[in-house]
Amino acid sequence: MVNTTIHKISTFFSKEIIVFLIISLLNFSFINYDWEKDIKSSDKVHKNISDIFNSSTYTINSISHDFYTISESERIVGYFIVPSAFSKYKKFDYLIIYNNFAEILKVKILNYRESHGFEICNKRWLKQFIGNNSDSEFEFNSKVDAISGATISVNSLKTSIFKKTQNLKRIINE
Amino acid sequence: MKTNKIRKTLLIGILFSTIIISKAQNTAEKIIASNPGLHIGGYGQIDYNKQINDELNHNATLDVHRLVTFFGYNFNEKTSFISEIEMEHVKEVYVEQAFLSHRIKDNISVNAGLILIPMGIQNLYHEPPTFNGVERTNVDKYIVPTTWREMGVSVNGRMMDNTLSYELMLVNGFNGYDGAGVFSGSSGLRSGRQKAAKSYMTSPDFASRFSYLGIPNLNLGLSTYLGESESSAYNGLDLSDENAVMSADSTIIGINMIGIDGRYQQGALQLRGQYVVADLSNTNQYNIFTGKDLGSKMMGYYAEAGYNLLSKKETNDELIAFVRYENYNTHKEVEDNITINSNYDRKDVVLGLGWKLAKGAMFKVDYQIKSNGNDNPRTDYINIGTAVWF
Repeated sequence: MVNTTIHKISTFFSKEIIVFLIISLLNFSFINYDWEKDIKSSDKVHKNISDIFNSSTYTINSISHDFYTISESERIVGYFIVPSAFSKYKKFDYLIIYNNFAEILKVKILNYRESHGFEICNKRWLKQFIGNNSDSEFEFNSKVDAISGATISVNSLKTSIFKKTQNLKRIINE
Repeated sequence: MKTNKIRKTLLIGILFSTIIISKAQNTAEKIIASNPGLHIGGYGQIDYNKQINDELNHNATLDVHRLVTFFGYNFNEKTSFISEIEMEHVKEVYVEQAFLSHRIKDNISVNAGLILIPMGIQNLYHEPPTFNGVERTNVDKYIVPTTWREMGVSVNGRMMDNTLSYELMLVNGFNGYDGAGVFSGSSGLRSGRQKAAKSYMTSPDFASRFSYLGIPNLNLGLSTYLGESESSAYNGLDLSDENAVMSADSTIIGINMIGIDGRYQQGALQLRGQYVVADLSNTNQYNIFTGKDLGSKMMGYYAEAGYNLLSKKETNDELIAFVRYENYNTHKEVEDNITINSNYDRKDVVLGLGWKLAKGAMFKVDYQIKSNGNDNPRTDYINIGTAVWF
């Protein structure tokens, strides 16, 4: 007798929870982003650039190694790149914005496809890359904390950011 | 002679795992190059365990405890199939995961198939190089009970600017009765895992997990599980036959499980803790009917601290020294018909070292002191193992 009541309550209650949570979560979900759009014209990238440089009149130009220059009145004020890296079994896309000395101003994850390792999307954690200028990969890595449960994504992002930054420094010095 | 045999088997074990790593990389690279959607990976746990420190001699056991192959295929940006095939103890083949995943919105996905129950840390994150100690914790083995995976549907996603992740699922429950009772006082619900080997279901159970990342360096989790065990007595049951229904009712227990866990990582220091409690209802009727001694409340917790001794050196190698205390009790409470068996109140202390040779390859050694009940003598073990993940 007790069991049939437990059975009824748990079946009713759990279905109710699921429906309620799905409806409220869909209300909180993000706007669906179409990733087929061209990088140069993507809204997320431009919003971040205009926020950092406090400008809506900048122009961008493509240079080597997938980098773009950000210019204001004919003068280069910074650079950006939208690389992709591997999380566990899928790729994710992210944005690095630099000042004109190849110093990192911002890192933002744009499109994280996997369910594991999404902890790297956390804004506070990503702030550790800002001003992380080291040319020694070991020192560069040591300035960013590990995340338990997201080791692959963390290492993948660190390696990718370091490589791209070294590339940019090489380009600037030429 | 004995030492030589041990050395030989250990050497073979290490060589074997090295071969797997190098071969798998080559094979995987070739396959991926020709078919970008396909991903192959795996993990392995090879153990040496020996009871020591008492007057009697004990044989050591050497076991390729787990060898798991991962096959994943990305059909497109949104849809993938994820599977893990496991060989345990060299002879037992299981499927650990097999589900179709579809991303319906930027931050929400739906999975359907054989999925992991998101209770506790190690049931979800069980690749051997991700935890300290040769074996998984006994709290996870007896209370959770890992590797816990069943058939169902889940909705998972992230919100609050990627600081909160959630997973909600409906799954089939444990097999509690298939002509005889399945649960027990000593191993709790562990024997009832159906693992998708022609699982059957009387009614679905609900599981959920929330992970919070808002506090720097800390990952907090809250898991719940609510449902009833399944019973073959319900198959072909005439619901208008009161006697038959009452009898079938006695073969089912209600399960209400809650777990909280936390992982802290900063620099060389890593801390980990978990607490799981399971309230089981109707165990009185169940025990009378089946002759088992299942408890009405099970509880387990552990606290662990680890430190990377090589953190100041300029190297990617890690040497992690750790200590862990575990307490797991499958007879925390019992209903009237049986008495608490104090031997089921178990405490383990584990101390050891893990040497990370490369990303995904670790060599582990630990010393484990197991005790239970009140005056029972303790049993000590030395464990050595290789842990790989690629």
